[in-house]
Amino acid sequence: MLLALGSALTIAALCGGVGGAGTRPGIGTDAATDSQTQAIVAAATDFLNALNADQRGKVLFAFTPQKTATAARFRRSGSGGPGDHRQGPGGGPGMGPPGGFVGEKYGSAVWSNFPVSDVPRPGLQLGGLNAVQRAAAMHVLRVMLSPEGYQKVLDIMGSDQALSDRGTPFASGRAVYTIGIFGTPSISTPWMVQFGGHHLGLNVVIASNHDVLAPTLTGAQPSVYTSNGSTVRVLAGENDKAFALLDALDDTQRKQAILNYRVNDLVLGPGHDGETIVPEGLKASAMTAQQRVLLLDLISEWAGIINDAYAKPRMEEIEAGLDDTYFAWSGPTTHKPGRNGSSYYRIQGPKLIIEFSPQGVGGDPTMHVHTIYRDPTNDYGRAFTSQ
Amino acid sequence: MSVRRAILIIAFLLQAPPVSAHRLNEYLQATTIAFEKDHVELRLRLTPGVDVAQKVLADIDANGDGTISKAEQRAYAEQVIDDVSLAIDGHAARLRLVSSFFPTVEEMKQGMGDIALAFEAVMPPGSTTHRLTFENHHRSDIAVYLVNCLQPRDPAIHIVGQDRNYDQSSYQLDFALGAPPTSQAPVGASAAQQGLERPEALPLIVTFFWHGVRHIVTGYDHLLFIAALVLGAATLWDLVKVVTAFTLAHSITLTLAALNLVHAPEGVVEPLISASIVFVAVQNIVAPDHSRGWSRLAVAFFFGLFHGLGFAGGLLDILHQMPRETILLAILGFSFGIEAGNQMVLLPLVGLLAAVRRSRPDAAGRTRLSLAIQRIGSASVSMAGMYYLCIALAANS
Repeated sequence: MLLALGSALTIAALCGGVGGAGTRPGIGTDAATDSQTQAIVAAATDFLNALNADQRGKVLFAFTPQKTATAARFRRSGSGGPGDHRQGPGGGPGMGPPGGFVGEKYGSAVWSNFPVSDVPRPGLQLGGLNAVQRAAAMHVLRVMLSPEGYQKVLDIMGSDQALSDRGTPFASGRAVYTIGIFGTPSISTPWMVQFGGHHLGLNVVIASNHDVLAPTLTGAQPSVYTSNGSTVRVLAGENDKAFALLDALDDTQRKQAILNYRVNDLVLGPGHDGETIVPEGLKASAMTAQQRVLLLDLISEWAGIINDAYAKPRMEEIEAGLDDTYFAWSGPTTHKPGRNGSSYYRIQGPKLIIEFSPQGVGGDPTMHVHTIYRDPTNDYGRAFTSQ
Repeated sequence: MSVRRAILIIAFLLQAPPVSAHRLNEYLQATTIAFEKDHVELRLRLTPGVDVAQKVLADIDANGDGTISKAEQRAYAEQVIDDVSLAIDGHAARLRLVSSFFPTVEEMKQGMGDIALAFEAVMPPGSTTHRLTFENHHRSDIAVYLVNCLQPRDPAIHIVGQDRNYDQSSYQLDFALGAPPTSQAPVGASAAQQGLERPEALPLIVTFFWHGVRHIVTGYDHLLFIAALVLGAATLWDLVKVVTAFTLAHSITLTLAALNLVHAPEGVVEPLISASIVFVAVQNIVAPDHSRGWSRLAVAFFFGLFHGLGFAGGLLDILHQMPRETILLAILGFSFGIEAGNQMVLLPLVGLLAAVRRSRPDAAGRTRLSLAIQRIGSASVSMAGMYYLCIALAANS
């Protein structure tokens, strides 16, 4: 009950149902987004000003709206971190077939769930920046994202750092996360910030007073790690809120929500732009008001990564399509306390696709997860950038 | 082979390598079905996990020269065509390869390579409703299948319903061409479901049989327990009785747990399973008299109950919310798989022990040797058991 109440307040705050709590009193949506866009432009400009000309050349790319993003395949480049595996015989440039690691390419921007040594991201790696420049780069993220979203990014990077500290045969750790700026930071013409690395692909298109976070990939391995003596469970909200919703369903609803087959990976991961699968599971129109609140609260884990000024209209849009939004589950219906579960779930609506996919291959699925967040109608802000 | 060497080999075999038990070695095969105006496209994305990459590579790089030639790519695509089937309204559709991507050998070896194949089939003429069936049996011994249909871009194509079997190796899709069907059934629970409502028993049992085998041969804890029981048995009749007691017990708890009638936390079951190894192995050493007869049967039965809960954990991970009749088939297949896995280790071990014992001509020598094998083997097993016990207890703390 308390959980439901807390969730209701969170959603109400996000959706503007309760004046004051979480919103900026006295500032209308347009004014809020306008001033937010100005703040992001200022932060990005400060970051660019902190770089030298050579660095600016490496971090700035053209922003060219595309009809669709494409699956991009990469061969191991040999530019990775410690222990990087060079290619075997027959793998040199111009030899052998194309293929290998999959990323999603949108113009000159590329993101993926693979490490940066396998799928190189365009831009500058944090490790190559001095302290001032790094702080300016992180400031761009801090301004662009909500406090919860920024913390999520830090937690994911911390998890990859923990993986790196144990030793990996590929580039990992905070230092190889990469920032790229596509187009010129502007309050009127569209541009894009891309930030990512292993288990993170943030793509934010800023088009006037619209900010679009989709597509974005979050993930973690290990999902639980210790940092400065305290335990961090990455994507805990995504896990716990999903179980809360599942627990709130009655037997008939569960029967519809729980798929009779198992799903072992992301269906619409990198390289699947523009694809919409036939939805399955329980439709939110068959949910009670309380369950719908829990569903919206779960969705806000992704939609709320972006700064509140943009999350609010986005949540309103998702809520408007809620009747046609499906919740589908595959896997165990319980999880150990303090651990993420090993179950897959998907939320699919007219303007939304979310997948949460624990990765079982070669290890413990509760310690390795990939998630994807898309808007089939507006990935890369297409609705605002198409000519 | 000298007796001493045989004993050393047994001791070595029983020292399980300290890798994490129950690892998953999988070959992910994701299929996307896309409808276009006059054809349907199958897009397969194939990703072998690192532990099975060599197996898959052996299929692809047939001449083993470390590169994947164009001819080898074509041959592999043909192999995939042979292993999948697409039928529309019961008629097999001819699949034509339209594009393919292969990673390098090195990438595949690291479990990071991704193969992409796209096939095309002609759509049937007419504007009535149709049923598409797709089956994928490519490398079913190691496969994990995904299959999904894209929302058609053409407004004249309507998806009426879809259904899959549990491991997504078999998929059905009902669709209509032309005007939207008058009463559109809710997608997901549809006419197509009728076709799969009564699951085909044999493929399901076979699928879960292999899950059972895999669970046993990758989970050293159960094998160690069996080994300890074998070492304690003096005659084949002893062994049959003790294994029967074990099987009976674990079948009971496996069934009860899989049907959700009993539930025991993993934090209790895992340490008890490890403790059972140590208990039986130590008993073999310090009280060989108790290692046969009624007391041993009781021990095998008692611990068998907990091993059954452990097996159920492995089964429940892959089985959830299935219809009851399907669960029973799954339990049946899984149990047979576990038995087969047990026998794969048990029978060679029994044969080896018998051969070693027979190597002594005199009865007294045989008894002495028997006891020595029992002690040394059991000491090794108990050490391995202690190792698992420590891991299980550490996981709880």
